[in-house]
Amino acid sequence: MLDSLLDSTERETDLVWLSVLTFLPILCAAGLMVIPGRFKEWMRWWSLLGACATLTVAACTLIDYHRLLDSHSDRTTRSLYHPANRLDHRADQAAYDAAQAVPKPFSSFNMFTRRAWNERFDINYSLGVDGVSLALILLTALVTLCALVASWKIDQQLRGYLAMILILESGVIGAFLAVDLFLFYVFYELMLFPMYFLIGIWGGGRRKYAAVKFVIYTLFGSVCLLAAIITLYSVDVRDFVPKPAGDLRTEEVHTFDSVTLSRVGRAVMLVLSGQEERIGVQTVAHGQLVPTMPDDTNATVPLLAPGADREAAIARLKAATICTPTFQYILFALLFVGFAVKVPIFPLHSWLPDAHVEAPTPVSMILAGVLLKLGGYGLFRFAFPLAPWAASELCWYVGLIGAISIVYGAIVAMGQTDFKKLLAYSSVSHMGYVVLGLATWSAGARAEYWEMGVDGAIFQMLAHGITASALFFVVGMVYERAHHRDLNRLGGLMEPMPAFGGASAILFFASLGLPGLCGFVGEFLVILSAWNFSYALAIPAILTTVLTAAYLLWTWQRVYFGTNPDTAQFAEMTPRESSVLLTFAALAVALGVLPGFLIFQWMEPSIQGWVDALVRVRG
Amino acid sequence: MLEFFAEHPGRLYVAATLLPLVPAVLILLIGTVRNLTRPYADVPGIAGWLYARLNHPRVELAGAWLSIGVMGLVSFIAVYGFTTLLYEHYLPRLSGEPIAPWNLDDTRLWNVNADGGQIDWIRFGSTPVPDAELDIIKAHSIHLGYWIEIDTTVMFAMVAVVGTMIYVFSLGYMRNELKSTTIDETLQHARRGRFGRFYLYLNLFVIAMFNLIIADNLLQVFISWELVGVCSYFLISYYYERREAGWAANKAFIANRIGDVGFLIAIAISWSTCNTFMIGALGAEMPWHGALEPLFSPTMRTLLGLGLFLGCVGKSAQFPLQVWLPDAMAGPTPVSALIHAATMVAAGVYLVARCYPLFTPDALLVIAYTGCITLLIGGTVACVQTDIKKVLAYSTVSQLGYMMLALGVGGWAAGVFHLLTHAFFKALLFLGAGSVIHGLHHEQDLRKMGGLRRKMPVTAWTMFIGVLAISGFPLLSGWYSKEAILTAAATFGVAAPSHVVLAVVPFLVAGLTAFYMFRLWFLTFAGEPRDRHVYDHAHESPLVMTIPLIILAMFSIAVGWGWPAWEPEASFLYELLNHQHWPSSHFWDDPQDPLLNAATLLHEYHLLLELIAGAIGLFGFAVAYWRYVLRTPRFHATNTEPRGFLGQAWYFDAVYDACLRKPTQNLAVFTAAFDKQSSDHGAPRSLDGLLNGIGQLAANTGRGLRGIQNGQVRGYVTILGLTVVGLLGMLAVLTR
Amino acid sequence: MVEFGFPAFLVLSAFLFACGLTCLATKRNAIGILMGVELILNAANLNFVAAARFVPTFRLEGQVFAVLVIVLAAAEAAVALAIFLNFYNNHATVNVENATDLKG
Repeated sequence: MLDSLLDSTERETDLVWLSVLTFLPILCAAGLMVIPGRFKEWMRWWSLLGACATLTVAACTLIDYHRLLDSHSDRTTRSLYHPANRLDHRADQAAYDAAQAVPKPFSSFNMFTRRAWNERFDINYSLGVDGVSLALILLTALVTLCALVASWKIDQQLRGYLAMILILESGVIGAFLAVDLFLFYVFYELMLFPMYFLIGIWGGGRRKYAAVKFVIYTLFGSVCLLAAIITLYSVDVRDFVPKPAGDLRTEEVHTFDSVTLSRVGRAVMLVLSGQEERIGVQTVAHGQLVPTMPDDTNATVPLLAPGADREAAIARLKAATICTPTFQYILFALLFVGFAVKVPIFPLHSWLPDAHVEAPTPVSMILAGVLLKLGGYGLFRFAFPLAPWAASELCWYVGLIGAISIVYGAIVAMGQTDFKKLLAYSSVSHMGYVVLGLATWSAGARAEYWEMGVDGAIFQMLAHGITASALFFVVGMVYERAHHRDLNRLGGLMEPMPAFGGASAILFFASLGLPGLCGFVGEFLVILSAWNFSYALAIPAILTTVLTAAYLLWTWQRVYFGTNPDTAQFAEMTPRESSVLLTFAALAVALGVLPGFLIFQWMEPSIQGWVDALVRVRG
Repeated sequence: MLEFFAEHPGRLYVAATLLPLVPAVLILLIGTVRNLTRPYADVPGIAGWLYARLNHPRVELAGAWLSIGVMGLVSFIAVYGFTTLLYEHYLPRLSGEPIAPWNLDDTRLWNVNADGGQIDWIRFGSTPVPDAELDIIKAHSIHLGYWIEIDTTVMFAMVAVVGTMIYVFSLGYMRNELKSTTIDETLQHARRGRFGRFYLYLNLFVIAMFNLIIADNLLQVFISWELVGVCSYFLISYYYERREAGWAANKAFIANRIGDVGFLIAIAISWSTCNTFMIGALGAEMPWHGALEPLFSPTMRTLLGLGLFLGCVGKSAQFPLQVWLPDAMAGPTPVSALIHAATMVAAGVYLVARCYPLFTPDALLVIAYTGCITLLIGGTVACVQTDIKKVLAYSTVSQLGYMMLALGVGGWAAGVFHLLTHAFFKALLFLGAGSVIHGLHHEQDLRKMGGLRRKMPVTAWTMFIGVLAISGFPLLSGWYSKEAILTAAATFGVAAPSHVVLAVVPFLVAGLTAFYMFRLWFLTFAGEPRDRHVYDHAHESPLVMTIPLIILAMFSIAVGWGWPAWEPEASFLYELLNHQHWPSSHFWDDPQDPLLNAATLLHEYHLLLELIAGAIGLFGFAVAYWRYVLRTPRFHATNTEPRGFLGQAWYFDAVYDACLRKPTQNLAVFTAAFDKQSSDHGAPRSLDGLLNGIGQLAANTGRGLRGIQNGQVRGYVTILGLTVVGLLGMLAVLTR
Repeated sequence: MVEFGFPAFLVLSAFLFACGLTCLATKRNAIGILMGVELILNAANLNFVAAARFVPTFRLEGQVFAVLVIVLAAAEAAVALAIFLNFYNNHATVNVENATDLKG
């Protein structure tokens, strides 16, 4: 890969930039190995520097992404919304350019990169950025940075600990960036082993039990995922990949590329819903693929690669095993279960309380703030686009699972006496909104409502990432002072720690969805969308807002109100602690007051494109 | 700068809404820095220096004075806006046609649609939409905006003026919050003063309240709705070291959240049917507003109205969610005056008034009955309370019931009018009670008071004006608004005889009102002192507290006046509001409007109605005088804690506790046990145990199979041999 | 002299192999097991020699392998006997069921 940097036709800035974003933390972890063991403070600062650098690179990527969105603005769409900016269009264009008889040089300006990793098995090293992944990457970089600040007090096997956290960060960022399914799977598994050690070595009393449980549940999901990926690899995609002109497409082609496979999925959806005449061939003008404009009312959906023989392609597709309802159902079920374990949904959530209770505070922050988001992201990026027909058939049941998780998580949280466990269950409840929001698939003229639901789901992931990590940090601070987490023995914290109380009040209320703070926006959009989709799913979600308020306020009362001689002498938060907590509190306010300006402005075009592509094939 | 506002006068209101943000942010910043530097107080360095500078009563007082100044400015803007709107748009037309308030194209209103001051909060979709075009077919954005009408300006001015008075009053009332105290003598629990925090919460509250008043769409109302709720939460739990304060705050917030479920459903209905939250645009979709093809089905219309009203039930403490308001008296008394009497609890009434065209006749009937039940509950329970603030709290519940009843029976202007007059005299009464509590060193029990008029004359006589006003004494503001409500109720009773109870109950409770208010005043100020110790230490409050009382008393007298003053219908404010009102016939399918007929009929007898109301009020006063002035000595001995049906406020708390709180908690504990039990190894007694059991199954299988792998070559060889024989046999059979 | 064919040798070899296998499976005495192994090896050897005799293309290889197996059997016996002697020194028995010292 390095020699390609020197070759002027192969040089590609995106490749370098995205790889740096992915691997910078691992490089820092490698750097840690050089620092002699007695310089512990140096190690902390070094890894902090690494996390800061990663956050900086992520922020620069955001600026670059905004530049990319802006570059296609014209009067046919609202600014920043041009379909040529969509990740799948950029990926297809790159594939088309590479497949020419004389391949075009790689573009350095499309925020997408694809290089062969293993040509024998068609595995590509392909990374790409869109609004959703970028938002989650920023969240990851931020939460990891805060987690490193929060782990200043950890002294046991410090080098390993810091390295694990940095490797974890790399794995998560890689998973968010990966476009190739195999590459995604590699990153997805790469997160597993640092997490296992972080819980298993630096955890609490039952850490081994929790670590093993975490690994087994996650592996169960991964196995489903792997099965789905291998199944998808078996599909013959010869009509969906661009070929040099004159190629007769006589050989079978297989791929791990999620963009190509999602086009196959949409074609299958058209066939299964009896609209096969709408399958069209992508057109090319001036060497560029022509994107589908949002206001395009043309019934034909361009799914086949340019130059494909449409009749033969449809005939081949209909003969393939993938084009059967059973196959699609199984594929979607595998993908859904694979990611839902991570979300987590009822009844596969029971690893979460154990992992949270045993994990050290910074690891809990990362777990709640980042790792759960991979589940939602996977549903968004892979489960729905790769098996859209089954998803649209089953979306009510998916929404039902989400609604059950919302209600169940809230009720169980109310019955807890362990502060941390309570927050773990509240995560189940809050992440249920993500599943519900994604599942509210309304078609036709109501498609905007689904768009709102998906907007809400993704925003809810960001908001939950902020509030949940912050609240776990709050628990950590309380635990550091009280050495227990029993809600019935806490109380009276407001008087000795007023600033801490104020900051955590913002986060508590953000978590219970108070308007003006970040938790409200996502929940509200999901509720609006769910109401349009099905009253039966919306009403439990709305009623749960009461339960959420009840258990969080009850907790608040038990921790902060009253008088308690045991807590009266607690120290106010230190500058180090306040730097973390106040950052989160400020973000909770900022995202709640200006969600449109700060987030949706650049994130929404990707979601709009995603919804548009799927709604088009619903018919 | 001035042109900016002159161009779109509505912007003045946005600026006024956001102004209190300045002191709020300053107080918040200073408080945070002070708390964070406290650990370094004795350490030399910049942190210690900062702490020494900031930890001074002067700093906190400066914050309070800044807040008062800002509120004064806001009051000025509000009064300026009100008079401008009045002179420019209303007075010239007062004699002409009524102004249709729902006409969105009407550029005379300071309407955001006319001057394009909307901001997109969140935008969706890729379709390019010209900003000016109001497109409600495609849901493309959620916007924030303002919508100023005459009721908005009046309400805004009321909140600003009452707020300013309460800000000033709090300077005196909260003065002891400037210094640290010890809350528990045995534990030596230190308690730092919370003066700055009080003004911080108040500032945040008025921002949210102003935003609620000017909002032009349901979402913005909802946002402010919850924000005033959370400010109320923090102010109720202001004395959070007290156990009951925390519970009361939780109760208030959760009761409001239950109401907000309805509000959210209403918002969801409006969005999924009309793609808009705009109150005006929603009103335009109603059949009685000329929508040719209404998007709503009749059921959805009623459901929308009921959902909205459920939100108002929570916020305005209507039956069956009225239970939180009396408990909310755990907060400081100025807060009870501002939030839990004058402004926030009236927001529900205001919302019903503002969304009036969205309610179907069925929904309005529900509103009327709810108001009727509420005013009866509040009125009866207030008669037996012994805590001075609790009496006022139940009185507030009852008066809010009056307003809802008025709105429900079609007396739109009467309801809003009573909302305004009530705000002034109830704020006066609460501040008076605060002054008494302050003068008696935080004694709130009526049984220990008596004869205080000699010690605190200003408080006593200003409060007397408040009592007269709320009891409907002629020529005071309460008289005008109560007459308007009673007339509206009587009209409805005549027009719809099957609902005559809606007309009878308010008349009867008018007598109760006079009874419990005079009871309060007599027990506090009249007669002889019942507790010598309390009486001896009592003192009149300082000027900073009595001047707001006097100003509010003047407002309570005069705010309803018009010419001729002895005609209750001649009240200027009422006439103004009535003029904005659309004909009530929109709500009746019958073209022969029975309400109109009844109104003309009743107009003949309005003097009789006034006489009846006056007589009932006089009777209430007489009973109070007889029981509490003529027979005072026996009161102290016989009256213990309030008990029984009325003393327990119709047993609402007990029933809710047994039917809602306990079952929910039990369900939570049960479900938690169903989900995971700490001690289930082996036997799956919970969901977690079951899933673990599946894992154990694999482990057990492995353990069982381990016996075969015993390391004895003999066993392996036997299996090997048998397998070979078996395979060969299979081969033989298969190839045959 | 009667000329037995190739199958006869194969049957004999299979019989020897089965004997050896049974010996392995039933004996607890280490020496007995060793004898069973010798039987199996010799069964294989017999096959090699027979193949060298009857299969033309296997003439040389069969003999070479037979020699190789003989050497292998000798080496194996030497090592195994050494182990058993040591085992006997330590445990005063050559019963393999008692050889559990290295079991996990």
